Amino acid sequence: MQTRESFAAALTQPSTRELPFLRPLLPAAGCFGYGEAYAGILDVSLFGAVVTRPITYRRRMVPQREGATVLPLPAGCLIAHPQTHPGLSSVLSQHRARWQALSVPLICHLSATDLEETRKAARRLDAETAVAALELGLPSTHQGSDRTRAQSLVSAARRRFEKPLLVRLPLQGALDLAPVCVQAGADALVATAPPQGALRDPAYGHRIHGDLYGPWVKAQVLPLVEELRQLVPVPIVACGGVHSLTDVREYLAAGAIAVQIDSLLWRDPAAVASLAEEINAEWDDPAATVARATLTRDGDGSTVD
Amino acid sequence: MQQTMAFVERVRRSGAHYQQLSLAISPSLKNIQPGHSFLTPGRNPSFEPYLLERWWPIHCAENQLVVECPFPYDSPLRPYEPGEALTLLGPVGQPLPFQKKLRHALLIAEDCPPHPLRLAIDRLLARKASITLVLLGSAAQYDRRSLDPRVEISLGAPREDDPRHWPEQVLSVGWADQVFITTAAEGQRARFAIWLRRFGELRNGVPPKYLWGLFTPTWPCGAGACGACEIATIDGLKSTCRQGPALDLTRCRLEEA
Repeated sequence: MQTRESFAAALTQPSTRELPFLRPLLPAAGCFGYGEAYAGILDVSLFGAVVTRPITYRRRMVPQREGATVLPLPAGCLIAHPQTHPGLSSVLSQHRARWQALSVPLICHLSATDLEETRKAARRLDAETAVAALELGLPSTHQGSDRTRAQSLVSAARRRFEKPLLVRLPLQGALDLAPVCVQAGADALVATAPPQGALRDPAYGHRIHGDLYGPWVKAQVLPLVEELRQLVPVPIVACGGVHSLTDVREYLAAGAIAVQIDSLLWRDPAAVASLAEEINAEWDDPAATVARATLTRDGDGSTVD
Repeated sequence: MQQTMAFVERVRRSGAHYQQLSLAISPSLKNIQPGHSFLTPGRNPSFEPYLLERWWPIHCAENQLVVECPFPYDSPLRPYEPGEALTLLGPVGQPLPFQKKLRHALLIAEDCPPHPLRLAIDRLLARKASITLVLLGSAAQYDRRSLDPRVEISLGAPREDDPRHWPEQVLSVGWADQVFITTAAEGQRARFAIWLRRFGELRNGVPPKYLWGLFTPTWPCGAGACGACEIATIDGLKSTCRQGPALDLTRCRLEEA
């Protein structure tokens, strides 16, 4: 049975690498800036940790005709991010001081681009005292998963990074990749990156590929969390479509050790704050924790209320 | 930036496609400046539409804000009514960087209503600056009755060699101390690249901090959190919601557009 105390240690495999992490909610990578974006609106101590925007080792300025594109969807949106990044050195020099002052651990999200860059970035981040853990974002593709590549990338990061290593799986191919990532040294898995989709741009007529956000993503990720929980022996952090307290409870009941919130942060930061307060209050209540753990043990993750 | 409640106090129709709302706002929203905007889900408690609507203040006073929000009167939707409560996320963005000694301002709206420039008109007139407002393309259909009579308004007069032409163009460009341009969001970087080139021709080069583009792509968060509105500049990536909307066009990497 999971208790509050065991939760703190269980984000990563106990006895090897532990992360002091006492709240079940986290902002998802790419939804909270580098920890500064919601200063003055959201108190970071509501979260178990802060997860940064995806970072690449090198600075990337890929020419794009129109930069990012945001297209509305029914109850959601598609965002095609331009593949431009300021690079790790620039991010560190700009945000290191803020990270050191954070009241919660900082998890740096590293976009796994190529092996050499992943290796260099992992080594550099390992030396950063402000960085408590690394979340390695595996590339999302429409073609499915590449197990060999995923294994190489996770191994490359693992060999250079001594602190806890989380790996964010792409939705497509998550079940294929999960055992490979764990074998390569992942301490925890994040399920999952936003699903990929494509829409026709009404302004230009061409097709745009991007990340999909909205409450309906949960219906795709929730069963995956349950399957991953059975498949791999490491903690699972759920991510996708969280828009209510029920969503958080269902993910926890499905076996997730923590839950990342993505686009609700953009849509309604106040809703995230009240959701975090409620779930933290439940979390701090030992009786509620036992009830939740019992539901998980019985495998009844469908209704928690 | 804050998330606050606002109440609709008064509603007026503004042209065929806009409603002018007077909002009672939280006293914590102080010092709203030209360039600031607000994001709102409107009054719909569901997640449809999901993306927030952006409102530009056109007037503001203590604890009160006037915005013009889109409302197609030929649609079956119900217009806003006094007494309704709304959530506002903002102010989003940075104030427009007016020169301290700005005397003559040229404001241009191309294919979009001049909403992002309306509060600038108020503030610049209060500073006794003179203003020329150029309305090009569909911006010329904007209901101009609510504009201050002290503003000189020029409507576009496209020519074959210059679709962005307006009467006395050379004179007004030469006379302006600073220029602020707002355009339709579609193809905005390409539009600003054309404006930069055009001003270079009209003035024999564009000095820094003279020509400002108001970048207004869709802002999912308004906080610089999502990275969906970043623009590459000589000084690195800039979030148009957090560091904009006004960016010096001579510093932007528009040629990559």
